[in-house]
Amino acid sequence: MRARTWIAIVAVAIILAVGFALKEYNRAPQGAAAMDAVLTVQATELHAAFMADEAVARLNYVGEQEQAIVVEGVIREMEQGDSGATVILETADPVAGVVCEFAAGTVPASWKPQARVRVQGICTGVNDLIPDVIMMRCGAVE
Amino acid sequence: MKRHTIILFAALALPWAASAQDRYMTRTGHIEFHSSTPMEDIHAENDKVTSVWDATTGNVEFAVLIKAFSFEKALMQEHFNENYMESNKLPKASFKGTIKGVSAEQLTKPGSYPVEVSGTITIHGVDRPMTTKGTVTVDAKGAITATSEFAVKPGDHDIKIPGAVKKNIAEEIAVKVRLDYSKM
Repeated sequence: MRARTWIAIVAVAIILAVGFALKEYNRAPQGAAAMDAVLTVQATELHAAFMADEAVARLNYVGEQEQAIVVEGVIREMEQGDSGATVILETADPVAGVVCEFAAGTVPASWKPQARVRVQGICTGVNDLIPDVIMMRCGAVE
Repeated sequence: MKRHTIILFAALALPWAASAQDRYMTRTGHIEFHSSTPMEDIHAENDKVTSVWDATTGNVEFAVLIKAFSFEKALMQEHFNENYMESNKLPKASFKGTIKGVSAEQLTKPGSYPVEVSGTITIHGVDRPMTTKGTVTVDAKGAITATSEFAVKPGDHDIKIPGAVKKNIAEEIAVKVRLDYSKM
């Protein structure tokens, strides 16, 4: 009887462990909107920080571990892609912007160029050639 | 005197204007890679590739943020950034080289042009020479798209794969690039 109980306990533990491992293995990346934002920053300020000192800006806005931040700014341009939409926020640079990637159908219909908006996303850094600051897995903050 | 100044200014500005017309850029280029082994398939995409191409000289560059690659599974994304690419320490990859086989003039007409791309690819902070084939397509509306496929060996870029997962990651990673250019 005692042996049977132990076998049952071990079997349940194994099933739970396998279930947890499978769930963890198949876990999809979390959208930034579902995370708690660590800070709020203006798009112009965010871009200026990367232009001034990329290493320091990476520490503050990208972080060692993935983190969500909220960026406030004015929409310069919106592009519809195959798998989602790109919203570019104004910066002091006439070419480079804060480029925010949204999943398909997640950009509010009311958003238009020149609108002031708030975006929650994962900042991945500043690109080369065209020094855009790239925000991934973004969501609108209403 | 005033007329001479205008002519001189125009003569100086003309080469710059002509060269500016032949420069193309994108900030939404697409790059994807695929690793296939009997153990598992790994696929990731990045739609935020920046590239600048001077069709007169053939010089081309592109840049990629490593953390901007999206994976289907969060765990793969975490391992890719933290264990293999060390993206906090080495956040970018790039390519700098030339495209041969298409002229600036051909880009004004619809067509499909096979090209050779050669240069230096930098991944994980390690430079490697690279030559590959590609195609530049100009559609009826004048939209220009450059595509290429090539293979990258993690070992060539000092990317260390631990023994426990060696069978899960292909020795050669298949890479596809698609760049939709617009005039600068």
